Amino acid sequence: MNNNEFKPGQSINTDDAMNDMPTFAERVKNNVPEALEYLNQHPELKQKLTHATSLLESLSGMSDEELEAEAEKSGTFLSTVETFNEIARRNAERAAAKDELETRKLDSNLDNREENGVLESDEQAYKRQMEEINAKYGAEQNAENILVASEVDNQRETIQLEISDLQKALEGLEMQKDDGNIWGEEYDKQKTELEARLANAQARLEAISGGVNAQEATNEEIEKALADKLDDLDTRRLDGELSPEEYAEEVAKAQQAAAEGRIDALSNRAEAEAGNSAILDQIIEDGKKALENANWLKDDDAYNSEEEYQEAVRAAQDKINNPAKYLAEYSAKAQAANTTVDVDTNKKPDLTPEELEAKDILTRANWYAEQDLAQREMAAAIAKGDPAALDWLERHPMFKEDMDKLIQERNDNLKKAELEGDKNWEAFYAEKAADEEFRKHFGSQEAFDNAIRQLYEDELNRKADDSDKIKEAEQRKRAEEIGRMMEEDGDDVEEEKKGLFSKIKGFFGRSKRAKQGKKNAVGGLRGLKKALYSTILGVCTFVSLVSCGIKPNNNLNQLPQEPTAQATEYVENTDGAQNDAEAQRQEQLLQKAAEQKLNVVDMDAEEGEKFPETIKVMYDGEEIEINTTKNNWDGESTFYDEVGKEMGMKSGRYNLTAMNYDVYNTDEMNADTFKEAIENVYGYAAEDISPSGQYALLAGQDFLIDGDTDGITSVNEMNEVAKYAMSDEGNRQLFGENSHSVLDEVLGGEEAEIIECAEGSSHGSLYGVDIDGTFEYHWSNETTPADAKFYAVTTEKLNSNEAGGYKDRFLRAVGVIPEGASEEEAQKIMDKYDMAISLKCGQVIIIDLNPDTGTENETGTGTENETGNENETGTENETGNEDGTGTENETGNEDGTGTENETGTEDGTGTENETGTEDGTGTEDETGTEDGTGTENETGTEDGTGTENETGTEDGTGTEDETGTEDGTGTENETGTEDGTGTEEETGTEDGTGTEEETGTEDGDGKTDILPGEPGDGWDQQDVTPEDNTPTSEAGDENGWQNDNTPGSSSEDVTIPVEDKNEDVNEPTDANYSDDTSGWRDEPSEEPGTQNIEEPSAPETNDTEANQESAEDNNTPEENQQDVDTAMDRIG
Amino acid sequence: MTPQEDEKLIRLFEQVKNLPEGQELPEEIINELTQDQLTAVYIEKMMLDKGVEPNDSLRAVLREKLDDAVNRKLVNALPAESAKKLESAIDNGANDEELENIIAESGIDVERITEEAMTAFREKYLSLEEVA
Repeated sequence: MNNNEFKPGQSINTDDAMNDMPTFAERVKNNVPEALEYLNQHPELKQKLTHATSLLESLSGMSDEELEAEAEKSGTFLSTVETFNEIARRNAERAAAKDELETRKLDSNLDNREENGVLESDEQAYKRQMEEINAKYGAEQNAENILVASEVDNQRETIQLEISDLQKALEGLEMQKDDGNIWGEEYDKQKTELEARLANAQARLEAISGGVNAQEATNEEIEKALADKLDDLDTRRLDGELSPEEYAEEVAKAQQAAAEGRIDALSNRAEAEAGNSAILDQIIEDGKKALENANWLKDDDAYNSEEEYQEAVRAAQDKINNPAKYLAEYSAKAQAANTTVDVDTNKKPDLTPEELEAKDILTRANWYAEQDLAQREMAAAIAKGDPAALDWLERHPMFKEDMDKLIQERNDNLKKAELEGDKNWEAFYAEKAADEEFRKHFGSQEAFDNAIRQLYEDELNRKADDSDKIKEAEQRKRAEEIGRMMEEDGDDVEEEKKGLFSKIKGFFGRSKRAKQGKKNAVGGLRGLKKALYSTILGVCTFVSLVSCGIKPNNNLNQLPQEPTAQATEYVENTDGAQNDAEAQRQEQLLQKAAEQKLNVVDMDAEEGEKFPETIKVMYDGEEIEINTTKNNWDGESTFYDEVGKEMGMKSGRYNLTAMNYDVYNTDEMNADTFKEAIENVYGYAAEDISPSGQYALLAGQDFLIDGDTDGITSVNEMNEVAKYAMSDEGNRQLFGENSHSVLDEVLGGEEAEIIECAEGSSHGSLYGVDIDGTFEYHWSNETTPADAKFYAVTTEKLNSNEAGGYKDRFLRAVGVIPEGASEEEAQKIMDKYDMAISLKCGQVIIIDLNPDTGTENETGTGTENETGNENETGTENETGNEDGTGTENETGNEDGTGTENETGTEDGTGTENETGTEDGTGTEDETGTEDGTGTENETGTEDGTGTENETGTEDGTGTEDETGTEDGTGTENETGTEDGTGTEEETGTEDGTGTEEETGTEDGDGKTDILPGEPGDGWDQQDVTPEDNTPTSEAGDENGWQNDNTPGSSSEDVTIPVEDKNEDVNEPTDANYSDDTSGWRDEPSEEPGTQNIEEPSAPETNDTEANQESAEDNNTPEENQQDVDTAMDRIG
Repeated sequence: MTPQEDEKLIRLFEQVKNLPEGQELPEEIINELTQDQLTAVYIEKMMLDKGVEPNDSLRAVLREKLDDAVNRKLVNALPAESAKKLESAIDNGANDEELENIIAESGIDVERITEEAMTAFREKYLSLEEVA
């Protein structure tokens, strides 16, 4: 605070210093002598003033002894002051009580006189005398004098208590010295201080007590003199010297003299005090200044309340009106300090606390406030290591605690400033601190500091905002510049089209074609990756492709025509939970994956051929290279994680390798061979492996190339092992007696039943592929070959048709239940399938247990048309019964790979036409019963590799035509029974290699003309005669499956015993166990031509079990190479 | 753009920014984007490939210029007669379908032109020197 602007009596300084100590502040403001005096005595305690009220209340309940003990505590200054005030209060009460006693004593004397017959009682005399004195000196003044005298008595007692405290403190200091707790300079300092304070107190006491003692002495003398006088008068009366009248007069005179003497004593002191005119003038002057200051602060709204202002005014007026009240105080201070009280507080005091003891109270308070700021400055200097400041601190250890606090506060502020990146905090603070106009608005240092801090933060924020704004402006400027540069040298809109340009803005933003262009542009950022895949495609192993009868996709070198399920980064969730967004995304992927058909390279290899280190796997139209040594053939299906966990399933982990293995029935591998295989591969005895473990092993887990063993090292060998596992004997061995243990392991103890998947049953499974950290879902459809039944387990939970249950969700996820299906429709579909877990691969599968029965009825006249271009990979299934008259047309071009199945019963009159061009690879199956009159026409061009199977019974009148051109590699099988009149014709050109078989029984009048046209390599001319069950061709891969997609089938006739149930039926070339673990591979068959079935005369029926071929009839490597060459020619 | 689309866009930007090297946004995600989002993602990728810290000002400017560049290419590609017909249709309040038909009749390959215009824009931006 700038002291030059300080106005005496300005309570602001007092308030500044004391606001944190409200009670004490109030006392100082009220100029309570005790408070001010103590503050003067203990300046080092000023900073420690805290709460007062509660302490005062607690003190009021203490005894004197407790109070004195409290006063002796070196605790807070406030407690000491409050204790002091409590003592003073009690002193005042005692003084009042003493006065009362004095009065009573006087009255008793008066009473005495009255009893003695004095003419007037003492009281009367006293009253008369007081009236005379009052008349002489003024009643008010006399009263004031008496009051002053009383107050002086109080002060005297207070000082006496203080002296007692100081004496005890000195004694305590000596004790500490004796205890060795203090010595040397410190001891000397404290002792000197205490002694000085003691001397000061004693001087003040003497100054105050002088008058009182004198007064008391005078009063005693007067009383003694009066008593002696009265005694003398009594004696003289009794002696007869005085008559009664003379006695009375003498007594009256004596009383009057005594009264006058008392008054005179008082008057004498008042007169003595009146002589201190200079001091009185100072007191009055201080009062005036205090009053002026109070009004000034009032105008400035500095007071917290009206009462506070009024109190300040009262205090000031009190000084003005009753200066004598403060005379003793002023005189004592002056006498003790032997200095002149300097009330000119405009002058900055430069005195030590001790030196300021003689100063006026406000000056001292002002100094304390100044010291507060000075102390902060000192703390800063100490923190900075200023030698002079450190020396001062050493000399004033009583300030150490305060200094530490201020330094800490300073450090906190600096730290705050540093964190804010601005080192100007101190300068900012100093600037504000020096601003008096600013400072005066705050009642405490703390409030002041907080205000400065807030201002500082505002300053920083403002600068930050400014900085952000500057940055934004710069960015805008740069962006505008870039915009100009982008427009430079660009094409202008043609003049005549400028109007259109301005009007059409926005339209292209809604144009679908434009959107596709943008997609291409964004997707073009990925162009590099796709080109790479195309290159890989170019070197894919066609041998494998061809060997399984799969025609390479015409679009091999093109990008997939439609969105495919993209590689999804599989994030393994260690806690098993997925967030909703991720689950939804994967659900979408499931849907898309289910809609796709996959091309998977058949990994069949030649016998003895080892696994290549890398294997090309086709999926989503692209080829991916799998490194078999890295064990990334297997993956996890998070779908199973999500759903399967409910079933208690282990994670749907599967092994791509295993799924690629064919499972054959063979009786060639006996138990010993099986055990030997286990031992060779895994190095331990089969007996040591639990059945479920054996199953797990055979299911492909850990099936890797084991170069260290001389065991199974090729697909072929593995297949042999797997075959046995799925053979009857193998199944019995593995799952018969030990099925429960398997179930326990697979299902976690869920109650389940083993079901046998019958021949012809189709089932599909969904699994995921984890390829180098990317994850995709794949869908695999399989049809159980004859006598190649496999086992699955199902549970009530799996098979429950409950809406929203596992089955419902699974079928919806994989598209079997179409989107939007009603609950009723969903129920019908669910009835057609069983959900189970394949014991072969551990995957959840959908089993169509009874293909001959269905719940999908088409009744009445209906027309089902498919017109248009179909570019897809997918599965089209028709399962169920067709009743009544119906027409089913397929017109259009079919590209890509696909499968078209028709399974069911066709009754009544129906027409089934297929017209169009079918490219790619596909499979077209018709399994079922056709009754009534029906027409089945197929007209068109079929390219690529296809399979058309007709298995079933055809009754009634029917026409089956096939007209067209068949190129490439194909297989056409008709297996079944045809009764009635039927005509089957095949007219057309058939090129390439193909297989056409008709196996079955044909009854009735039938005529079958199959004119395959110019046979190419491999196509066999069929010669089917009634009741000729001999298949005219056979095809099979080296593994014994009748691989219907295997071109280059042997042209030799093979007779297959009908009873040979261990042979495999020509297998639909949808994913065999040996072929496709990842999905469909084949296109709907592109069978050109028309077959006319004339029933029943020339049925073409085949015993379903008759079309068996020896598993031993395998292609030779040479034949395979021929197939490759042919396929290459086709592909071009 | 709706607030929901904005949020999606913000996530997309983050996704683009955090794409591992060599990886791009999956096609499936691209297919789900609106035109505005496609443009925004394209521009975002441009800026990142340029090595610039994307900011809203630059996004806005580049987007505006890209839209203009695409529209300019498309309009200039229109035969004069088709352009007149189109403008007349717009003046008469034709709906989008009608406008699409006119453009289809004009024979221009909107898809290709759009893609080429965007690609050219990107190449030009990446080739700019001393551009932040």
